[in-house]
Amino acid sequence: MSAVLYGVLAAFFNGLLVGSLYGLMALGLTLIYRVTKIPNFAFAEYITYGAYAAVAASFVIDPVNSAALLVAGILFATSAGAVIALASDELVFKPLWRRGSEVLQLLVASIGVGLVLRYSLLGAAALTGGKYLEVRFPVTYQTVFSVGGLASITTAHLLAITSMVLFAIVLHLLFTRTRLGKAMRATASNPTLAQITGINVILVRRITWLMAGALASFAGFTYSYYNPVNPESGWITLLWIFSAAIMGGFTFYGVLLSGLLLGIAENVVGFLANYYLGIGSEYNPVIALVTLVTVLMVRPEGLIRMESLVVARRV
Amino acid sequence: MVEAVSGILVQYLILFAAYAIMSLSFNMEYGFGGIPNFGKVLFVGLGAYTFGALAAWITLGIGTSRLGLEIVAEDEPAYCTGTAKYVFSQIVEGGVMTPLEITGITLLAVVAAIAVGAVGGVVASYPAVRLRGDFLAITLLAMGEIVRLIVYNSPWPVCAFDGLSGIPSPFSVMGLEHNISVAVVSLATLAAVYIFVSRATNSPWGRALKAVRDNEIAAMVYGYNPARIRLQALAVGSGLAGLAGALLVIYSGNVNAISFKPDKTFEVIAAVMLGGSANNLGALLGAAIVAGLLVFLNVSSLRALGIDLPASVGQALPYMKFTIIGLTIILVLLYRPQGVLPEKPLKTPLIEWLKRKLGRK
Amino acid sequence: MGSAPPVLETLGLTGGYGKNVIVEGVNISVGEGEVVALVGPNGSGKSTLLKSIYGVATVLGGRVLFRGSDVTKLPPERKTAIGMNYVPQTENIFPDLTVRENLEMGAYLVRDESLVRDSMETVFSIFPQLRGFQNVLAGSLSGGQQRMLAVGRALMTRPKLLLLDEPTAGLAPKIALELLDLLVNVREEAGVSILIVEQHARRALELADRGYVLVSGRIAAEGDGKSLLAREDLQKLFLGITG
Repeated sequence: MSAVLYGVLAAFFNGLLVGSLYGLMALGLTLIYRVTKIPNFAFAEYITYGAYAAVAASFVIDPVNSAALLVAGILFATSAGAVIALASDELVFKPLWRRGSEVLQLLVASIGVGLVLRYSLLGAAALTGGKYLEVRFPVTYQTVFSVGGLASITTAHLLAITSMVLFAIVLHLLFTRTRLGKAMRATASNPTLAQITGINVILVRRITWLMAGALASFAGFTYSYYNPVNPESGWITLLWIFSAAIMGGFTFYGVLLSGLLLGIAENVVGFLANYYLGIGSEYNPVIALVTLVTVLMVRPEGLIRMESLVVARRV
Repeated sequence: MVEAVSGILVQYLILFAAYAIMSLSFNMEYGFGGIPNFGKVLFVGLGAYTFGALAAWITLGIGTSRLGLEIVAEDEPAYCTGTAKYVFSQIVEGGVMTPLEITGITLLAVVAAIAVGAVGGVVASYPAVRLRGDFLAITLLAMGEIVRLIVYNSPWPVCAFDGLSGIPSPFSVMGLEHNISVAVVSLATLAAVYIFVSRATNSPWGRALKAVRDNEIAAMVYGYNPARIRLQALAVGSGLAGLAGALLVIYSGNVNAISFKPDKTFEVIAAVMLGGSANNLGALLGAAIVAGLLVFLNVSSLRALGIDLPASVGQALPYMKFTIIGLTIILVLLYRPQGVLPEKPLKTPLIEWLKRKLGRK
Repeated sequence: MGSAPPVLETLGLTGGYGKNVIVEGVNISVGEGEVVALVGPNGSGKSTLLKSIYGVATVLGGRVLFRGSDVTKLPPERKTAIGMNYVPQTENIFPDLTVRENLEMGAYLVRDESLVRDSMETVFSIFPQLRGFQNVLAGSLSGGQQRMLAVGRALMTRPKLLLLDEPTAGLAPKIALELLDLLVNVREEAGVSILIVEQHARRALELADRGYVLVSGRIAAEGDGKSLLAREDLQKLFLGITG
């Protein structure tokens, strides 16, 4: 096989993994956005904290038993993310929402929450001598199959792709088929009316944050399973996540596809640009950012909308 | 001790002036105009890159020819090379350029920084007339990151990740103390900007800006063109941001794209929210507090003030600053959303006259 | 044989927002199967009275009896559960849900699937227009259809009493009058008593069994629709209002 094709294949495989992670992460962001209308910048930190919590699990569980460690990592991560997400709503977003704050104020608040979470973690890592400025889940992925040794599909691929597809389906069915999901949408659509029809609006909101936080930190766990994680990992990924969510029009299947596309574009286009034009991979994030800006300029309601239910935003 | 403390105070005054100008500009756009320019740092950066590149390019050109040197640079601007650093140091030593020349170059570069910032603002008004609220904020933030990433990785215009450094201080060439001179000039500039912004926001144009913020349709009914007013606000605001960027480069002599991450915008947002949205005095107050946080929560500053920190705390301190800024944003939103100094009701001669009449009755 | 208590009775009801009194000392009643119209000039407190009954506005004094029991302090969702329902004047649908989902959400407290299906059938038979739009987003319906959906949503809990706050506000006069005619069918088909606040006073009183005239937060007149319409002193009031 020619070097170019080989490189493209490797980039494609890598893009699958990264893209699945973007999609997975964007699902949680979408859930929060759909129910509470908050473009939550603090979402990035739920991912990071999830990764750190997963690593913390390895201090508790005997690292010899890798299956038990994986389960413990997932449990630690999801519970930490769920709790932090819920806490950020109870302490910050809900009080603001009750007062009738505008979306923009909620956005600014989420930036504040994000700064507090991210820099506290950085501060804590620095205080403890910098040992935790970068962590990695002790169980590493295995190659499942490989083309010529470098372009491979690994267990990390399987984990990321399966969980992304699974969660997207679950969320879609939740929103369209179940009482809880419809109650979530009703709460988003008209909270006052939802309340008087007997929907426990507060409970619905809590469930939403718990789910989204767990989802974010599960993604964080998956991230730490294949890549070292530092306190800024989530933040650095955030604009990709927003790109995927906005490109997908905040619909679950659309977000999944957008995440995949962005991940693959990042790697394949990045590889080709490097190969033919000598442009370094450090420019890759520009792909996500340009996509984000272009989609918002041309079609702010999203490019790949996989659901008829979302009414066009009345911008 | 005294010298160290006064050194920090001078540093504080400079940063205060720069942050105050950024805050005044953000406040004009967001507080008065309702335009969430979360890409503020982009325009500060544009000013900094423009000032740095232009000032370095011209001084280097004159310097090399007078010193009889020639610089060969491949794939990067001549001012990024080691020889350029030598030329710059010779210029600071004195004798190569006259104070008049260096002043002229500096002023020219400042004007260019303002102009490029303003042009950037005009470009930013393209999304600003099409999007609102959160989507606009995200768009501008992303635009800022795009430019930063490109500038950080490309040798043009400011030497990629190494940054452009050693730009000769015009004050040193004039034989003045650099920091104190920068402080004086910065504060004078701030005073001028404050007067300008206050007058602008209190003028009929400022009322139109508020009208567009509060009710776009009503504003249109009264004959305002919201798109044009947004464009003007962004152009002026971004020009001021460019000026702040130029001041930062004059002060440090360096420019590196890594300093223009979104966090800087968040600092400005925190300052304006803390001080009081749509209140210019509030923007000054907020900038004073945020600049204080940035300057004094520093290992070297604290040491100069006689406070010695354990090494680990010292390591954590740069991060804790941002934790505090984040907390400030949250607490202000929760407990004092109008800021320390709330927006003042409109004052016009007619309203004042009516108030007096009614009061007398 | 003692007569059954009225479906709704207010005793000296005083209500408003915070500490602001808007309606004061109101005594009204709605009997089993009755349609009662509440009319009066703008700002007389008709809507606030309805909201006080349902618990959306603050009750500052007096009592609300529902089928003989005191429900004054019950929160709105509890009132929904025991057979009262309320259609707000604005924002009375879920625009981002389909018509069908709106109705499902209306029956959120009803656990029995077959009851929900039956109620939905009833709603579609009263408002046949809605049947064809079941999977359409409510926000894209026409104004008149949205009102029908709002009333339909409230019927999903099979209430004994329906509180309608100006269901025709903002509609074109022709559509408004059609909707009012349909509302009479609601009583027949759903077996519900209705207390309706209405701008189209003349038409509302013609259709209603009885009416109350509210002026400045107090009941100024009451009686059956025809006698109220005939009263000389109230003519100015009816002329001042459309319909």
